[in-house]
Amino acid sequence: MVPYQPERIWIQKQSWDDPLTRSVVEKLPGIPVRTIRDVDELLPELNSTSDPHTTGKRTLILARHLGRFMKECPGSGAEVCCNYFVINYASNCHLECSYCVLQSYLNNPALVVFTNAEQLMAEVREKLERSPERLFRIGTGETSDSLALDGITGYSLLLVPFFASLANGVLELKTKSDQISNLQGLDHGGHTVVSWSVNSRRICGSDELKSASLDERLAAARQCQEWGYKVGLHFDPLIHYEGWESDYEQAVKEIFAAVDPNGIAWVSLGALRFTPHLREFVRKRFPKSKIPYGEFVPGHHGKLRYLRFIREEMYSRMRSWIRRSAPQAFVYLCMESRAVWEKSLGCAAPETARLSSRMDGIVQVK
Amino acid sequence: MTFEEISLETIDFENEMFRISENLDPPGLRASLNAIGQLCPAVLLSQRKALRIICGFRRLRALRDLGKKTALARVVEDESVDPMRAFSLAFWDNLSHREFDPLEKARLLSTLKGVCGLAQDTIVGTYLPLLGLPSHKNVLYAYLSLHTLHSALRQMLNEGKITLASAERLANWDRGTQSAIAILFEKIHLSASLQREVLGLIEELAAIMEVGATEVVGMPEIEELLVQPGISAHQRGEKLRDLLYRRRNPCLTRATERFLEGRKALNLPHDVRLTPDPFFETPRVHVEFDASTAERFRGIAEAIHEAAEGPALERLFELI
Repeated sequence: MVPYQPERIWIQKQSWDDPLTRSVVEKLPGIPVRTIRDVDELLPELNSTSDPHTTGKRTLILARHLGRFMKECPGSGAEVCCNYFVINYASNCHLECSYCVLQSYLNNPALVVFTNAEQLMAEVREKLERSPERLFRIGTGETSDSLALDGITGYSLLLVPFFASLANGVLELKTKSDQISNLQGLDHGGHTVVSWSVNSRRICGSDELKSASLDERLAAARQCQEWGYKVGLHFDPLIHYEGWESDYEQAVKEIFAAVDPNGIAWVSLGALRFTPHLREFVRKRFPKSKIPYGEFVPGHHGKLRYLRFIREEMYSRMRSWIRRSAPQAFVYLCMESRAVWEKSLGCAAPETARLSSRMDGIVQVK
Repeated sequence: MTFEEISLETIDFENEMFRISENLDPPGLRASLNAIGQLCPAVLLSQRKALRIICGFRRLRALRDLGKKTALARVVEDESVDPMRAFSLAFWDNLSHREFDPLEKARLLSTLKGVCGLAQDTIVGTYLPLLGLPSHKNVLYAYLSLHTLHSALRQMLNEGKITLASAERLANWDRGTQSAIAILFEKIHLSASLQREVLGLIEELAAIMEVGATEVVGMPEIEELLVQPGISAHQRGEKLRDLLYRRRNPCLTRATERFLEGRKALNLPHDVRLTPDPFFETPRVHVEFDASTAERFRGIAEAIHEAAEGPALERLFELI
């Protein structure tokens, strides 16, 4: 993984009162620091550059998050949904995956880390205590990579023990990095699943530019299993290209040879989803990427997806390869319809509640 | 300010540094000059013993073509006059009495930047609005590219055969591809939306096939289509779009063909419309029919019932 090294740090005035701010600044010695009033102060400067999405990330902004940290996963409301929640500890990611939705999703292209961690945890605690009867699976990998910045932010040092203290919360750290050193020795109490987004070697090399290599991710996953963490695997986004079958079959083989299949919490499959706007971003920012030239059709909410037959074939074959290496692994589809579940996985799609409780049962913290 | 009778032989017609007009031989100008003579003097720049045209390219050409020996002109005698000052005369003179077409705007902006050396911010902030264009650097870039457009495509743009959007897009393609597209577009007719779609498909197929766009338009199927007898340029354009679309979307094309075969096997009356979900996103089919009499209604219902009893219906659903 190419580590994150900002060219400058902009700190919102109030953030200086948060311990996380001082800690981050100490870990980045020699980088110019400036105090700002508003996180959007950078926008006029960035918008005058030819590629704000590349230049934006060179500035690390430390700021307080306004509003709620914890939200339902954007996949909520799909026909079959796993009832997942997300908390956004940061906004943006430096790993430069060509297909990343953040390019077209975030208003501010700078990399922003939210410093009011205490407020984040208080909000999560309050929300979970209000519904003690249910288990909350909560991820931090929606608007940023969960661990790519962990060497700088140390967020895992706060969140892992915090979740261990919650009776009904499971944290999922979703990453394409190998930044796991902070996780060693933490008292996670089985309340943290460390998940890797994985792909074929070809896609890891061509379209996940600054991420850890597949081998680095697998070594990190294996290490986390040895530290007692359950590991999740997300084959998402699956990319359809000529030769995908042999590449993904090989990837599945290598992945399940590297990690202990018995220590896997869940495996998700999700084919690439694109907005037309994002597709144009990718074409401009990553002209060598073949991803925008897949056979997409417009689907719900204007999103582009591979044709259903392509998705079904990919899921079906992925599942059979995974079954071969890890017969017990729990495989589920992300943001897919009941019909696609049934055709690709060869079984009736579970009701949302049943899928959710099955996944809750895997982490067994209740 | 003085005007002089200038011998046309002393004018350097080859030097087009300050030219703005795209069409140098507009219809009617020669007839006008022939009928009533030159009403407006040209403006010339005297430099290093040569007379360069600042304003009046079309008038002076027309007078020369009419066999006239002299023309009325104002001569700017300043040896040290800078290009911007000279070009300002042409710009403001033209702006005062006519509108510019897109290629003239492109030429003008290119001169301001390349010949006059004007700063980009000044062009964007001052000149784009004067030309009725949005004041944004990307607009300037688009027009500067347009200035490099292949001559055949420039002509097509002037004749309204291609849209400005298509021209701007094509201006970013290499010269060889522009030439190939010009040859292709001469033989077909495409509406504005089809132009956009066809150019997009060509670009995407080139990326998918890892070849240049020239190779895409040179595919044997396209060559065959272009010489296919008995079809109009408009039909040829639509067939080209279909051909490119099928090539770009092979799975969707196969699925559509499978569905059509399955539908045919049901032997339903022609007034029953059986359609799949858009892009086959679900395995649903939509059945619709019109009947103007009870008898026709019963006939259609019986045909649907018959189709429902046969194996072809199961096969249709297996296919989707």
